[in-house]
Amino acid sequence: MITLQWLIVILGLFLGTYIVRALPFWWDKIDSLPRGLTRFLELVPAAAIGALIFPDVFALSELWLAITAVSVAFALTLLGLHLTLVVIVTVLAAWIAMAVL
Amino acid sequence: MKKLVAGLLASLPIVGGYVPVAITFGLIARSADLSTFDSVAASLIVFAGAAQFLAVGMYEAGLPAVQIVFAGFLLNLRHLLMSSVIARNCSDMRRIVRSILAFGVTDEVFGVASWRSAEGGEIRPGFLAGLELGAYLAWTLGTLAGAILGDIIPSGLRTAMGMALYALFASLLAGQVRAAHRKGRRRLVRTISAAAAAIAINVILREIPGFGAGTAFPVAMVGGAIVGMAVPAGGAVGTEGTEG
Repeated sequence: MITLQWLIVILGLFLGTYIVRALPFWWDKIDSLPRGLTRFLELVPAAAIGALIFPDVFALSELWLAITAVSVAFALTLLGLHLTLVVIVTVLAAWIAMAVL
Repeated sequence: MKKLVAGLLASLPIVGGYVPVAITFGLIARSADLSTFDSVAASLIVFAGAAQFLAVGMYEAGLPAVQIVFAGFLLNLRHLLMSSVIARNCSDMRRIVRSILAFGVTDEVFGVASWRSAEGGEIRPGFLAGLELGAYLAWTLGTLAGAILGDIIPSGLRTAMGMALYALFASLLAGQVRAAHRKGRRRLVRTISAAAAAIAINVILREIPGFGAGTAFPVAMVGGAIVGMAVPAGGAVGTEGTEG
């Protein structure tokens, strides 16, 4: 089963990603980007992820549980736990909490 | 052929890192009401972890395709830097070979290739092809495994998985903070400022009638990164010297 809207998204993502990756292979003049642009690009992921979490996380049904889960996931990663383990631990804990409460 | 095997062997650390993350992607895509086919197609066609997670999040929030593609494009612009480093080793290859190898330049492939290059090793087409092939197989097969897993888990757990996407984003954000911390105080301050500013912009814009998520998100992403660039120039410059 294909979701058409999603297919458009991934084809668009493919084009954007592939062109960026391939440009330096086709055209070897791109040795370095302006410093300002590099610095900007380094900060885009953190800004994007932040905006993905808030305010949408406030719209989740089990609000306090969701906020706790997000905080715990953030803290566990800061402490050095691997991303996948963090997600598994958080989801299992939320599942148990939902069953108990 | 020997080079290809050497490349595949060199991809093993990437495989170990990709498989669990790809499984997570498959699970999360399924929890966002995408089919197994949709999930695997994303990994097969896009092959960019961060952009794929971002896309699922925005898709689930109901944002239009144009906004999602633009956000993913911005997020992947950083590959321009990585590709230009690797492409330097490939100038004598045929154009078609270069065009194919360009597809597989992910953060991790770049990491291993540039490490090998720094150790004095050569990056030949066969080696790069093996390295990318190993990473690609791990990413796509891991996604398939995760998507199938998403079908067989109990429904109560699937509800809890609605939180998985946010737990993942929180974890990715903390990962950005950790990585910035390793690069020094200045980068740490910038990264935290960028995230905080983006959050503030997004929260405020979404309160304004007429500003949908689709308009607010790109503004928040770009605005946050710009604020992050600007902050230390005014505030933390004095401490630069003492940091060495």
